[in-house]
Amino acid sequence: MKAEEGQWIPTEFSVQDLKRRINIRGNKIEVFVSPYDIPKAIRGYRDPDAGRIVIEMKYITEDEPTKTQKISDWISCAIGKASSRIYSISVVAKTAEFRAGDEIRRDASMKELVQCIDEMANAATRSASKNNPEMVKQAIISHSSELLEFV
Amino acid sequence: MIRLYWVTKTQAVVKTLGVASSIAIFLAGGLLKFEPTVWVSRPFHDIVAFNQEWAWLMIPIFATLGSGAALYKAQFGTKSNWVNITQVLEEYKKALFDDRPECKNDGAYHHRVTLYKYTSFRVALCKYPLTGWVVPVARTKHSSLSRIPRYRVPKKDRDKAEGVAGAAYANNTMVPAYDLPIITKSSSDAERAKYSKFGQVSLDWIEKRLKKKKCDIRALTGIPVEVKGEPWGVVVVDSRRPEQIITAEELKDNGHYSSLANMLSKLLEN
Repeated sequence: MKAEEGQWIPTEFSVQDLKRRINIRGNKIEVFVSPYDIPKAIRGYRDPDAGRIVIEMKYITEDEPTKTQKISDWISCAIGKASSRIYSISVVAKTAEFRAGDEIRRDASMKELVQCIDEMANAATRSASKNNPEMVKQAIISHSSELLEFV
Repeated sequence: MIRLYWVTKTQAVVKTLGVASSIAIFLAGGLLKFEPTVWVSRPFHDIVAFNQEWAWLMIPIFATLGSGAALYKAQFGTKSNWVNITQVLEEYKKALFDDRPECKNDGAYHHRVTLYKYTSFRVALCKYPLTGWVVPVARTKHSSLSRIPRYRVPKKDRDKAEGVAGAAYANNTMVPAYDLPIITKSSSDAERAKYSKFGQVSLDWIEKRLKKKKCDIRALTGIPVEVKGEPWGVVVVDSRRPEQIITAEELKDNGHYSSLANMLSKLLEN
């Protein structure tokens, strides 16, 4: 499906994406990612005035205040002040070379984006904090073709 | 004791106290402007004289009582708020169980939804009152509303979090438990060990529980609750049926919990 600019795309995850095995009271227990950490929709759009591409995530609640965190020279994120959940990722289009028609470079830049999210997940101090970056990464990978279609 | 019961019993008293304190401060302050010698006729003379002598003590006392009433209301909420929260939990229980054919003839109390709030300490005669706890604050109707267990969530050692409620809060994940055996005094060690492992409780906890009643909950799911991104507590769904309450396939849809989370978030802000 070709994504229209700014249209929300409902996310789809496999059962394995939602399962985790963690240690509770000395036992390995199978648990699920918190519903609050699972993006229920994703969308991307170009912000020509600011010269950037924005990828946004929608969650089951949207009342959390956010703050901006710079991930690299050309990527910054809006993350929840309390939960550190990723609400949006902003990519500077010119530096990241998201140019229309340049499919190879667009894919390369998408890989760099996913790498940055991986770094965020690794930097999370608690294992539960890694769940959201992993879900966001999975959502971006699953819908990368739809997200890239408008850039 | 759940909040709805507690607030219903005390709301009228607290409201009266707040209003009475405001009126008392108004009168005590106003009467300070009057001289007892002007009011010769009793009882006005006595009242004004008494006020002149004791206003320095009465005004702070009534101000403290009025502030206490306001603080109580801020801390425990209003009856209407807790009625709405209980109704939200009821709707969630219906969404989870009403469409299941195997649950058609089950009693209303066979399936329950309980809202737990995290608190950093408890004012109670218990072991470790100053450690973190999740305490029940609301529950679906037709269920027992007293003697609901509280679970420890130690601040310094989250690995020791108790119960599915404590484990879900400590790990910020959805913790399921199902196919649990019914535990009675004649249950085997293997059955108690299984209940302890998957119910996230110690064997001592099971023994204490057996003194009052059997452990007949066979499936539970703990789901973290957030308000504006901050961890607030846990919703625990429990059932006397052994089947898994919420499967991963159902979690993918998220539909039922999505509505619950949005409504709870708005109600719990108040």
